[in-house]
Amino acid sequence: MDEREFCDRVLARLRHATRTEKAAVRAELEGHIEDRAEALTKAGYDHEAAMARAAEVMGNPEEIGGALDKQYPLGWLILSRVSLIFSILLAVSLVTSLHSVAELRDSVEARTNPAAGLRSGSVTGTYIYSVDLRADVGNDVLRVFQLGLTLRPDGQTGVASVALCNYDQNVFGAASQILIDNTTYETESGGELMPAGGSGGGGSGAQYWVADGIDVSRTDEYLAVCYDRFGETARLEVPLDWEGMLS
Amino acid sequence: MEKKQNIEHTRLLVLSLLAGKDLYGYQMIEELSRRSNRTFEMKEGTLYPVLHGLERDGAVEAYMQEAPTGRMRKYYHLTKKGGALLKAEEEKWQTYSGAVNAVLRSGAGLAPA
Repeated sequence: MDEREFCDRVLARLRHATRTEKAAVRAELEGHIEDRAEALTKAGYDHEAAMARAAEVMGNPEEIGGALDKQYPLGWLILSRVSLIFSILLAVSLVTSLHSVAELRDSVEARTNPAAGLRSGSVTGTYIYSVDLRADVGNDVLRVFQLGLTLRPDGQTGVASVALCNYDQNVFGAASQILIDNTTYETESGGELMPAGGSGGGGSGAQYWVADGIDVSRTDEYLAVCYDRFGETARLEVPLDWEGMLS
Repeated sequence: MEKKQNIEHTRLLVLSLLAGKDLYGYQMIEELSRRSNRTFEMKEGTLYPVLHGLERDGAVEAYMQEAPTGRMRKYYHLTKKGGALLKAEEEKWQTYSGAVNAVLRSGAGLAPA
């Protein structure tokens, strides 16, 4: 009988131990046999004889396996399996709830302090001011919360930058991921304005977007942020505060 | 008296060995043999059910440590609970051995001159 056979025969009797416990028992027994064999080799045994002798002095593998098995009662195995499943469920639910907490935080932030929730991009302009315009679009709320204005040297035209967000009407609900992408910008007279650029982002709790480089006229009193898709329409007229900028 | 003895009180002896320092299984066998002047002889593998039982009962704790050869060894450490168990087992042994000695002494007294 060699080291492997000894361990195999011990483990064959370990019916109530988990796979990890069996691996640990094998490693411990193998370590012992190798230590003994090393001592025997130093005493003059050749390697094979030392290993065989070391396994032999361990005793009867079936008796040892049976005695070891009593230390791992069936109840313990069931308990360890149940606790493993419970731990996995707990971890999954924790991750899910953490995700939900983050979504909830974003949703609340978009309602109460959207400027703080704007993590990607920022409104630009020589004059930046807050506004609060909201419109229901399906299950969501489209909100414009900040505007930046810059007057060009000609004194007649300017550039606007506008920050908007959307969130679900239900604070626990998921924000639409396409609403902001489909917003358009119009002048007071109804002509469509094309932003020169934009940046945004967000998660399930809220989505943000900053549209930059929108050409506006000094005579425009507002800039309209519009949505018109899937039978839902919204129009938010964002006042252009030229007076505030020039004062 | 026959020199080699099979160990019947392995739990007590193991707890006693671990009261001195943390040891791994093979070391315990060697230490037991050395301290008993090679009087105690046991099938070495039978130590492990005892150790694992003590671990399950919380009398010892195990931890892994790498030997200089790179081999990982499982060391056993006596816990506070194990210390209390050692004391209780020691007292039981003293009572038992005292009773055996008393019987032997009384037997010697009755022996014919």
